[in-house]
Amino acid sequence: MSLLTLVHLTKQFGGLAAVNDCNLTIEAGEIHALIGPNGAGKTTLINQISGALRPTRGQILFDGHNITHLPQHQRVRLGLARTFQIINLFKSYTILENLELAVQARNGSSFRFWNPVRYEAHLREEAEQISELLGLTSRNHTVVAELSHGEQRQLEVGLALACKPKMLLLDEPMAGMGPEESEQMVELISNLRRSLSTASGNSAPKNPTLTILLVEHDMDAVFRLASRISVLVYGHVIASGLPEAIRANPDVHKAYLGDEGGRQR
Amino acid sequence: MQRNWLIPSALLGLLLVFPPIANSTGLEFYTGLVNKIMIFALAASSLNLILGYGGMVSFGHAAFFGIGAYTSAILTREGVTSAWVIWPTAIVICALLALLIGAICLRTRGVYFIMITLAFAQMIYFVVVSFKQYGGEDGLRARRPEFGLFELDDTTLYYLTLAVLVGTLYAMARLVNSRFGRVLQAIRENETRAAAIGYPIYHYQLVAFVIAGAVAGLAGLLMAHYTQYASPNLLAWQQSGHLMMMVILGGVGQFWGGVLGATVLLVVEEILQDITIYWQLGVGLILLLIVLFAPKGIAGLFWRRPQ
Amino acid sequence: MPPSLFLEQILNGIQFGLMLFLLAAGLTLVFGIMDMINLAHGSLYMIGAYLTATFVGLTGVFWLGVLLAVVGTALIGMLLEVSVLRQLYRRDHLSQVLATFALILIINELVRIIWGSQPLLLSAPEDLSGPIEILPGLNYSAFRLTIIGVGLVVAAALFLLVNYTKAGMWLRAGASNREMAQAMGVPIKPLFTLLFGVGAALCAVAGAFLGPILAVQVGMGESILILAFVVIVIGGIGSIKGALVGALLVGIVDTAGRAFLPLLLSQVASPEVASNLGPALASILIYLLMAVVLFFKPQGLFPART
Repeated sequence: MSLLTLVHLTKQFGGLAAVNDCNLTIEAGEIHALIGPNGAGKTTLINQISGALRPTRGQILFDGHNITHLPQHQRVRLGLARTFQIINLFKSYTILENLELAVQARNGSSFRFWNPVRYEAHLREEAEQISELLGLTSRNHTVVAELSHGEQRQLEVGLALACKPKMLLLDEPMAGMGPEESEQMVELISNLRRSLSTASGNSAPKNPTLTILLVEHDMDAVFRLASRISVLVYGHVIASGLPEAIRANPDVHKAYLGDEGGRQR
Repeated sequence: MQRNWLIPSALLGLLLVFPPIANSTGLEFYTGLVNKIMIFALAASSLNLILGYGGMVSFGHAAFFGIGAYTSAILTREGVTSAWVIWPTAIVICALLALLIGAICLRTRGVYFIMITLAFAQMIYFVVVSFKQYGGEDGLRARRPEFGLFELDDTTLYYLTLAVLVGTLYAMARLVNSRFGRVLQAIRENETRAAAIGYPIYHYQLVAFVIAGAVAGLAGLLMAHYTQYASPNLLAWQQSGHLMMMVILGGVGQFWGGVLGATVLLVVEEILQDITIYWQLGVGLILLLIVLFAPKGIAGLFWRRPQ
Repeated sequence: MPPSLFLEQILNGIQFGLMLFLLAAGLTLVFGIMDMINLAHGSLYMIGAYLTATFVGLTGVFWLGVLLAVVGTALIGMLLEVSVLRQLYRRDHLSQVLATFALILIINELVRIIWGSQPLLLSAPEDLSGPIEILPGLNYSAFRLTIIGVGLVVAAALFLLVNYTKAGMWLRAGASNREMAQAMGVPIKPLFTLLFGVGAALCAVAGAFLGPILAVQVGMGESILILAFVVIVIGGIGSIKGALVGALLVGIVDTAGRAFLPLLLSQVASPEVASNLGPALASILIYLLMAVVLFFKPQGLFPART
């Protein structure tokens, strides 16, 4: 069953079509990797799916809803959460404070003006659970600006998780990471779907079929994690299918992997 | 938490006994000054809510301040004498005005937001000033309304203003620590992130804008009662600048920023006005020095992070 | 309504618009390149007018007085940039607004201390004080025609400077993308001081020529400053072309609006309504114009920024 469908999606900036007649289907429960050369339009695509950008043409269907013109916050409510390619956290807040904000957004209305929010222990508890999942518990009270690059990237994923999503849009979660940190992130992503259903406790619904759209340059990680891969070149999907098929596809080789046949990274 | 309220409680005590002490020592004039300070503390605190906590640099806040005053003046001019009618009317009008202006302005960002809030305030200024029957550029006399239970003489007005200030500050303290307050500050901290985790930015900012506008209107009301006059200066863009000065002087986003800033600025103005007719030069210099060298304001010198 | 009256108001609007352009051009470049809001720009205009009145009084020759005033104001502008304004480039908009607001207060009082609180007398030069018949039956002030001429000449010079010189190219690069321009070796710091000097000089020209028409008094900079900001918001921040188009639009709409709106209203409404609403509507007309433009083009008509 397809969870996310992009139909003839196009985004034009003046004369340049950053995303050009893009058609893509993501099945529920899969980890779908999106690869492509720099400037292929991957982040623009993520921005349109999350609602940060309005498409010029085309449609986005998510979980049975047409979300093409839906504002960002409503898409989050429907279960779509994203991370940012360039780290975008609440820099002067601690890890817990960052996570609590995301948890609060999915825990009832925030148009409450009277009661101190720090008395809501359940928000903190849920935030602590997510931090534990990320392995960041020891740094819970550290301000984001003082975290390492890898820890910040993990928190990016954590914030998206706190939104209790049906689908995660991960925009280059391993960018700028060394081999050790990348390995940690790969493990985190592959554990996500399993751990999420057990760690959430009774406040969150069981979610064994968390779907992930992973935009990445790290080919090692891509081929380890992805159940299917799509290739984006000049804003258009030129191939989509199982990893072995993509690896063998001559068009993909030419456009992206290089003619030497499956160069990694 | 106890320690933080010691000094304000002491000050409150001082403010409570101030009028009788001042009157008996021949310093009645200063009761008026303190009254004026409290009114501006209220107005500046309302601006601090959207500017300091919300990160919205509104250059048109004086519009609500002035409309609050003018509503009272116009209503009393038209024969309405009951404060029970005038107060709710003025507050509701300012809230609706803030809703209208905010709904439009908050679709913009950055300098466009600053400019368009300024533009709206200017529009209101010109419209109000064009009504010759309501004083035009000379302003309008504003009789004090009646509460029925007590006479609104200088002393009663003082205590009423004090009560309103204390009540509003208490409500504001609860607001900034509530869910809403936390979200508002998060939006100021990183708007795109707040949007990405699912908060409808526009709605939160608009609600804050309306609250701030209503409180500024309340301050304007009290101003009209105090001076018994509604002056177009209350609506001028320089007044918006004046209020912004207080916020930065006291500490942007610091809880006591509005109160501290209003107190210090008005006291400094009072002192300078006694020294020279060119007192605005002194005010300008102080403001410039604060912006360049002490941008966190006075409160910023004592507290490292906004409470 | 006689067509000559209509034409006269349009010409007045163009004249005012061209002077607004002189103010807006400097403002929009500073804003576009350094992302800096400078409220003290109107004060430079005021200084220009005051210096002109003083030098004209001393030398007895209008054009000499203007020249001296322009040079003097440019120097003051550059001095301000090097001492105070430079500290504000890295700061947030609120700090810039308040710091330059402080400068307005300081400069206003300094002017009051030096020249007193009474408005100064600045008259148009003798040989330009009469009317000229530009079309059969249509007389127009020679001085105002001169203003239009000066405005067009300066606008042309500015276009040449920005589009055909190296410095101009640097400015356009900086307006489009400052970091990139700096990375490519554009000497931003001295370019900036020079830019302020030129901007101040333009303000002085506007002050010198509008002084005889409006009044040379403390606070004259503030009302025109707001108009200048409306102009650059409409025209698009960082764009000289936008500043010109915006300024002409604002100048014509404001002038024609003030002249004709009360008249129009009195045709359709009662005299009291017209006499109240007319001037009010005329005053807010340009703000409505700005709101309408921003609604369709939120970045202004010709935004320079990418």
